[in-house]
Amino acid sequence: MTPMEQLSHRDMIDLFLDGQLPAEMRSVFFAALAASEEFQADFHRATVIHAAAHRHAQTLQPPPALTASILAAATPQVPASRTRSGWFHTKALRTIALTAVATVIGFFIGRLSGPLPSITKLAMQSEHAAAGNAVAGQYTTRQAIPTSQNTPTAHTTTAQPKSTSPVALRTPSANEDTAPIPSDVLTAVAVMPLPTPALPVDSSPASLQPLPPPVGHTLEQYSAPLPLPPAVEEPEEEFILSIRQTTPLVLRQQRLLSPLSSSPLNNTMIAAEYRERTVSILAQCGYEQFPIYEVTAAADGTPQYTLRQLLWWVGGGMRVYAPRAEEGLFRTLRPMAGIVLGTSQYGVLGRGELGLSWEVLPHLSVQCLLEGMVHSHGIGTNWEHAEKLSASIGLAFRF
Amino acid sequence: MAINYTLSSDRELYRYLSMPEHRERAFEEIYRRYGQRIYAYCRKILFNTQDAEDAFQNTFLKFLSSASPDREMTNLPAYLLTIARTTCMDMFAHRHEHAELVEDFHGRPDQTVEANEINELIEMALQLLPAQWREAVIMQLYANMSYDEIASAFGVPVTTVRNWLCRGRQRLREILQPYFEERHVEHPE
Repeated sequence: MTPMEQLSHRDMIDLFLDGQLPAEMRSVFFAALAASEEFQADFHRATVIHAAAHRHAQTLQPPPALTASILAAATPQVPASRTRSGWFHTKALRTIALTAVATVIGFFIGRLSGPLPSITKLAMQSEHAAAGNAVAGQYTTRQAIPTSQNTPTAHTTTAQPKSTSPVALRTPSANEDTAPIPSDVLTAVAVMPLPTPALPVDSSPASLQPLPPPVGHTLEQYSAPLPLPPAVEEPEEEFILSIRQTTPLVLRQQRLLSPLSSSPLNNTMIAAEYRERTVSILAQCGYEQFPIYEVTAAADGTPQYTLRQLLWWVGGGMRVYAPRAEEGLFRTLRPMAGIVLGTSQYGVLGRGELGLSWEVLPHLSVQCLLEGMVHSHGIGTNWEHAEKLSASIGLAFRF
Repeated sequence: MAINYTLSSDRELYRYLSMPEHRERAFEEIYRRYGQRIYAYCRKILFNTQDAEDAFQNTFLKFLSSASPDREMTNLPAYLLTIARTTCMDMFAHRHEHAELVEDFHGRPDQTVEANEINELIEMALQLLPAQWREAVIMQLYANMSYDEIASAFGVPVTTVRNWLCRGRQRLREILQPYFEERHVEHPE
């Protein structure tokens, strides 16, 4: 069944008025028109609207002053120089260079935003925890320990793992409090830093007086390792699937429609990404509103230009992410930058991205990017370029 | 050799734009052929005379500045319409939030009161259509563009344009049906 055979009677009205109704369908149309009053009324409404619009269109004439102003723009002018500018000023190269610079800047800004890479912090935490749970006797302090009898003495306290420590529960005996501790005991035990508030230490016998018990403090607080914040785990590798919607901010078409800007039309992009720590490789495809002229060769060899507004493209590239910060604003916001090279059905393209990935949930991010794209299309030496700067927002699912 | 610009094809006229000795006359002829249609499109899309005149002027200036001898122009009206469309989109994007969007139909000496009334109703009904249908209907009814030219301007197949136009105009008739019934113009004799 051809598309024409699927026409409704109401479709036929419009096609008939436009002169687009095929001859073989006209008999069907007239038969339907003769058979139905409702159809006739609809046909009448269509003709009234059609005629009114055409009559009104004829009255819409540009004002003479405007016409004169426009025609004055076509005064003869000196032909533009055919000299080509230097290689750096070629738009495609300039765009790629600026994109690369933006990528490098974005990468370093990202690195500065996180105080330490997560891997290093995890290693430090592991070491610390191991020390805190080591054999009793390794945590040693020379500070005076407050007692109930205020007897001048020096104490060496031994730390136990918090869950089993007898220190906080045990009351020292009188002998223990008053008996002098040999000096070799003090030196025999390895002295290690204890993660407690620094207190004045004086090893001279006269100064070894008990200090008044600090309000709200217990012995346990002096002996047990301080609790550490839970580690934020950075996955070694992730697979990221994202979809973004973009809107062009500036659009330029060299030689053809320059400048052509601010089209409100939306585009869609899908990316699959494999990330190892802060660097990823990705495959990306997009559906773009990108008015370009396809250049093809006619039979006599002359170039033919055909307007193409929609293009599909696929490409591959890489992204760098700032390391995840442990705290502060950048704990969930990760600056990112990327570059993608690809091809559409009409030519090659390069894209640069700079933006933020907001990791709102363990497996979900919101991506906000500023993207530059240059598209080259044509044949032989007759290449043309179109450039676009756009903003995008989308969701990324991390596995 | 004297050139008769009126008889020249669009392709030839476009080529003349790159020749200083022919540029002015060729541009005049292109303007004469398509100026009114582009102007009508701008007026109907932007719904504001001042914005429409700005968009119309910018369209032809962009067209003139983009003329290149290396290019073979295959569809001049579609090309002009594409520029006009983009320019109007720009106007929309930068339009002041409280801009007065009123097209004055009243007091036109060249049209009857009834004609003014139905034009105003059509204008209001157009604003109720989905954007793509509205734009396609305006291009077809007011700018007198063919299906091919509209398809080229949108970058979509002709069948899609045909579909938009049929759906759009049917919706237009449905919206205006109460007016026709009230005026008892349902069954003309």
